[in-house]
Amino acid sequence: MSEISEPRTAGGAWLVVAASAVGALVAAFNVVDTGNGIAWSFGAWLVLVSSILVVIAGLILAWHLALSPVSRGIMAVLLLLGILGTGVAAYFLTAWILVVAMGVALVGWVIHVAADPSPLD
Amino acid sequence: MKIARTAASSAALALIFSLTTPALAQNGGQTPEATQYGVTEEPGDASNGEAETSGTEVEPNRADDTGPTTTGQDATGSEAAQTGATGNSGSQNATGGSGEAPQTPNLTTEETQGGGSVERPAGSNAAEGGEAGASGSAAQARQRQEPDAWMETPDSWATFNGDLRAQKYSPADQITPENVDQLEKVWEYHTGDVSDGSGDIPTTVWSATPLFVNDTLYIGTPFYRIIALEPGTGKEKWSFDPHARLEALTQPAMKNRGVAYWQADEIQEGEACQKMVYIGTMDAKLYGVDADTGKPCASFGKDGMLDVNQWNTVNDKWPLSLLQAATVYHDTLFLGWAGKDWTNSAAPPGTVFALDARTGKLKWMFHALPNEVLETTGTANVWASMSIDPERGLLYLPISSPSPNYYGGERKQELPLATSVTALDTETGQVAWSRQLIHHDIWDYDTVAPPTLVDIQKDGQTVPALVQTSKQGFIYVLNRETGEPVYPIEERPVPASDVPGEEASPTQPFVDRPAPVIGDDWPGIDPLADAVSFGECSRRAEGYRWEGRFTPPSLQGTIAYPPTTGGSQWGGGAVDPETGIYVVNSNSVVQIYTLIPREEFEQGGQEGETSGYYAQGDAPYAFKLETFLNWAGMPCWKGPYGTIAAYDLKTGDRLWNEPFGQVQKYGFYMPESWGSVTIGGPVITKSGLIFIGASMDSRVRALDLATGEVLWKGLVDAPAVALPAVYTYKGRQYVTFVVGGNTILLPKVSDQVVTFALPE
Repeated sequence: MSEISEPRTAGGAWLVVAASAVGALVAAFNVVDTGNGIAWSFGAWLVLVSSILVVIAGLILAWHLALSPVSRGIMAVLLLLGILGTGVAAYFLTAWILVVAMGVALVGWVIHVAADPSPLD
Repeated sequence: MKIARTAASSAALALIFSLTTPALAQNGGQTPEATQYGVTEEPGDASNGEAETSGTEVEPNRADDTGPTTTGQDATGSEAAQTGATGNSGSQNATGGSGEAPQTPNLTTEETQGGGSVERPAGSNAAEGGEAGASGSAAQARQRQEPDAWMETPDSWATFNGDLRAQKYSPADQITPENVDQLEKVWEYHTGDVSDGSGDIPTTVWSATPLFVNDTLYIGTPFYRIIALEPGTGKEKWSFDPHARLEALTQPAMKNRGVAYWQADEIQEGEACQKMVYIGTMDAKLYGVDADTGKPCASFGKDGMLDVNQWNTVNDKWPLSLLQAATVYHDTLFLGWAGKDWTNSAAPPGTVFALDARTGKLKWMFHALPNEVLETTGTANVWASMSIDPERGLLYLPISSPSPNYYGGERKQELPLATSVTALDTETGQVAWSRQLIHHDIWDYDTVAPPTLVDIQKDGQTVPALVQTSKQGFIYVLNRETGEPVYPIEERPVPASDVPGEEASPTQPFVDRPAPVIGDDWPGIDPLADAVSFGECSRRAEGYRWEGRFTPPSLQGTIAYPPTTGGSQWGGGAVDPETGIYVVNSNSVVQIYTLIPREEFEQGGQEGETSGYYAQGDAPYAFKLETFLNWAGMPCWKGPYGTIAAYDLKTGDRLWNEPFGQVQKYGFYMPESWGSVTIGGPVITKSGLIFIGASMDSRVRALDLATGEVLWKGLVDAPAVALPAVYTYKGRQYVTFVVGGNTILLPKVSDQVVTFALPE
């Protein structure tokens, strides 16, 4: 009789979640922090939304909600695009903390792709 | 990464240049949906609940319905003002009665050089002087005069340009290149007078240089209030509200470029209005208030208000908007006005008023255009600030182009004073000399900046010089006594017009030294913009006419470089008078000038006031102005789009030329190498710093005068398009920026006044 066990922790994905959550908080602050040069701008809203999407994608991978290899692959690619896109946008917004956050998220993504277990491991 | 950044930057620039076009023309040439002057309007549109009928505004001396109000700490100011005014008017009976509007029914007219004329009240002292001036040896007739002592103190910033010479120079040296990175914000103040245009009040464009004088910081707002602040803390001393009409009567936005200050040579203690502050309004009213209390000066105009529109008697299609602060010299205010030279062909002709600073009475009125041409043209007015040589008693005017802006087929007469720099005798209004910078202007190359006056050492001699920047990108260095060039100005053949009815001038004046702020050829097609548009930029460029500078507007479209945006704009340049180093910021923009036959224009359903289209009155051609963008809104030409440069006036050499500022769109900042379109100007300090806002990235900067390197940046609430004020108060050097924004640069407005200083 086979034994069903919880999948092992996806550390890389959780790092993505943590970093992008910090990024989302920073992005939210940037939206409302009148006087920072980018408050209420389209760009500030854009990185807030994209940061939240990165958090959601990271959670999907961390919680092993994408079970099939194809869906996990697609999700990983989308996550990478989200991290890079948010990072580049943050660079042009001179939102340096957000750039760093996305840098950490990128490290988490690399760990996830290289070392995180699959949901069925 | 570099390519990605460039691509993203180009995309983000997309809409910027659709906004940076006509609004940089005369006081913002964007065709406004302005209230037609003289048309009755529905009451209640104006702010403050005023019910106004603009049709009545043409009547002179109409009292303001609401009346001005003053708020402030000095509760006894009203009485003082009244008492003082009475006393003051008593001493001024020779020139005007107290409380009476200065009607000037009996004017005499004299011709002056260049087809201009001067009107003045019959029997005035100036009239006698005018005859002397007109007799020929005007230079000899002018006696050497003394500047106003209160204006010359090194700690103050007493005029729009810092001083009458428009040097924009402060001898303050506490803040240096070595310590400027320690600058900190010491206070900020918000006027509350701001509009983004979403409500009833048009958007605000605020370019007011703060004045520091009389131990007070004076600020004019785009709602035409005067605010007096404590310079060390930003605490409000008083404010004056004229309850001005907040309607875009001549401009697309509520605009203000500051206040003027005057004080009597000998202050009578206890009397009010010995020191006065003035502010003009969009609807041609000039207010004078006591500088200590903010109370209206009863002796000035009628109860503190002078209706300048009483002298708007020819082609009076709109009011003479008083947006630029008056120039003050001794006891005289020199006042130009702004209008719109894109809407009509026949328009109010350019005038400059000399007014008694105490009473508002007219001393003289200078006309730049001869009467015989006024059926088909107008303007050639002075809407920018002016400069004065206080020792020589000469007033220097940057005179704009005649109307309509882009077609001159019905104004082929020589109009020597149009688009010129012209020197007037301050006493008589007579022309001392004039130099036309553009012949038969059909590009809207208004002379827009005050000439900077400075003595330069050249070839072992001291030359009393004048430096005039221009939209066309040339820097003219002239002898300010004679108007003769210090560096050569050469008449060169330029392309002829191919438009039936138009006759472009066969030659135009060219200047090679100092080097023009932009190149002779247009920058060429930007490869990225061309690629994104699948060759659209290149194909369109091939279809346009371009034969070098001064290629006339055409029916197929002409590449205009520089176009009406400049080149250099109204901020002009600054100079260090000790070293002769001159600094100016500039733009590099390509626009397309297209004339549209009248019949075609009307069949096209254009009403003449839609964006980019100019009716030009009943001229045979209307006009289309567009910035050269591809389908995605990316500029089709290569950057940088704005630079700042330094010149050695002793040699004419350009010392450095650097991209300045950063483009910002949707919050994203573009590469610094692209520069930014700029509005505003620099200020130089003795310690070797340049302070400047001007860029669209909402930064104010300090640059190293020696190298152009940015040494310090401060973030403010919007583009700071006003000249900063640099002053010393109680031993501490301050730099104050008015941060108003300008929708030409960015849809971002503000009411912030912010002051920086070194830590105590």
